[in-house]
Amino acid sequence: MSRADVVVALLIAAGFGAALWEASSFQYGTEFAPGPGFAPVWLSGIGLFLSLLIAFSAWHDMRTAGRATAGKGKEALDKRGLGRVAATVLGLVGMMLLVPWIGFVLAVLAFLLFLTLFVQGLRLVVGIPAALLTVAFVYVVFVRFLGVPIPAGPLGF
Amino acid sequence: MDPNDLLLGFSIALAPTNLLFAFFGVFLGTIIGALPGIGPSAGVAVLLPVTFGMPPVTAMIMLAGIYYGAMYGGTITSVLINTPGESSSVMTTLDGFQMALKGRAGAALGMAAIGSFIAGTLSVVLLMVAAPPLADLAVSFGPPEYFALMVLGLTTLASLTSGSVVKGLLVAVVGLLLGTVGIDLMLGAPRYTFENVNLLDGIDFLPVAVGLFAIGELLFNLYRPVRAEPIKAKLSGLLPTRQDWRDSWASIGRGTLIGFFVGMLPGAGATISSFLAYATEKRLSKHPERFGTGVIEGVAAPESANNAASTGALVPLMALGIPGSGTTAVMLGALTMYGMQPGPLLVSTHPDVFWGLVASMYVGNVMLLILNLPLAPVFASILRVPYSVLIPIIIGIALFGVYSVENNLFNVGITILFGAIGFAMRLYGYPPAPLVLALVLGPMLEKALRQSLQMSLGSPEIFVTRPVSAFILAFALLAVLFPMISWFRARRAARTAAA
Repeated sequence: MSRADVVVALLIAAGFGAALWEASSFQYGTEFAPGPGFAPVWLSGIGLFLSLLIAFSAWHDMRTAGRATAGKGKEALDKRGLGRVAATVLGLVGMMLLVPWIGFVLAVLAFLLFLTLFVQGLRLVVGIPAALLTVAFVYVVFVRFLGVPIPAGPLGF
Repeated sequence: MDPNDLLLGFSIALAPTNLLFAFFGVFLGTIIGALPGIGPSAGVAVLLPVTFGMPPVTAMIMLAGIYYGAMYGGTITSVLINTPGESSSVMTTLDGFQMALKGRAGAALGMAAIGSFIAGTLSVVLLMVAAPPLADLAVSFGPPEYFALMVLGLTTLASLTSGSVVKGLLVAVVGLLLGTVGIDLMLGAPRYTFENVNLLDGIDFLPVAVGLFAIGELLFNLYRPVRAEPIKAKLSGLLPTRQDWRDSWASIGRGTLIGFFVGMLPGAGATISSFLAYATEKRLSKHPERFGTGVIEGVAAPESANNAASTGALVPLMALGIPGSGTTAVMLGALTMYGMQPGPLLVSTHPDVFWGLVASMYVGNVMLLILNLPLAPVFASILRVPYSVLIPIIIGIALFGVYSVENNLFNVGITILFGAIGFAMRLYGYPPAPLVLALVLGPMLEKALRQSLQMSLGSPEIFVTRPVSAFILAFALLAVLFPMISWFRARRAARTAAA
């Protein structure tokens, strides 16, 4: 167990705490039956307890393991790997923001080019065909074959 | 069982469209199983939107084909690159890869395909025998029994998934809480909607499943790229020799029975059944020391078991409407999306879906045998496609797929969010399957709980005074307590050893 495990468990506990706070405003029960607040209150309470249990257990393990290994965890996080993940998630968020401006197809194509060429570092002759063929394939399947109405861009698709 | 039901099933399964989609399902399933890093849960979730517009029976035939096809495909990677395509093929790597190193990769793949075919076919017979009577029995169940069954499903899945039991339970609670989002169906009050109209109908399971299983998995592969080079094995001699048969037939039989019955248990599934089948063979063998060095029984038993387990897992899904794994949870969600009410009445109200699916599984297993024997080298060549090229393809299909569920970008956003969460869960050892199962079961579980308490005028005693629900809840409690006690004992032992 590492410091990160404690932090993750505490973040989850904070989420459950917020859920419990929000659930306290729901009607807990009616005369003979549970109301809309019954399940949210109990679930967020149980979740809060379990996440604090995990946080305590991780903290206890960390202390037992000693200060020498504290914070290092089972294995160090790969910062370059995390960078690739963060770039991909940011790219996906950017794609969402682009959809109203350039349409769904072009936004997905832009994201896939970003992913293949910049995040994965594939060669142009591999990355560009992979992105183009993927978008062409899903366009044919979902738009032409299944008739899914996607948000169109300035080019009409 | 009425023979006419099976005839009805075959008349549906042998229709040209259904044959075509059964073929697509098993073919895609084999590829998905062969690719390390994407399992059947992700495959079924990503390809589910492609089935929109199909008749429900055709869609279920294709999705089930992906599920059991993946069990066949997982062997290829286990044997050729010593990396299981999905978790249920872990045990196959032990002897399968050793056989490949000895120049018997063809025999290992051939025996796995034949063992899977025999197990798959026999387990469909068991499914036919077990599911309808179970459904008939479950018709008499009331809300308390349903509540207990769903609790059992969730607790066993949370307890049996890899990693800490407490983390599994915590993830299940997150899923249940997410299931409460939206308008309360009994009193019409909004919960956790934050005045967002997209949340009024709740959080759809599919964007969450695609995010956790597919995007999360791909992000993890971007974080730690899969570097797997298949060994240059000669894939000849796929048909087993007489000696191979002598060594394997009993293992296939035992693997089938273990797989089917373990697969029926919620949460246990294909992975645990393949472990159990391998351990059983090793224990019964006259030469247990040879296991792990490339014995054919070490391939035949786990491969038969994982295939039989995938069919066994359909028993609680079709007979009770209660899935026991991430993949069957996605299939349950699919049934609801097609407008069907999963549960014991499904067999009697939609016999075409149940019997069509059953018959298609006979056909699908034959297709898989034909595909996997002569085409094993073709599937093996898929492993030479760099994983980095597959990542954009899978993400592209996933993004269009989740958009097409309700034609809105909100679902795409949910997928991205849960993709990031799924990555973090993998990184910190939180299993994703209980979350999806709990999200699918959550609304049904809450409804059953509230109906039960309405029946008892608010007294929780109703769950223990009714024998069936008391019995099932006792099992659920044991499912949580046993692993927790083992966990605490292991921690104490580790602490004592460290001291």
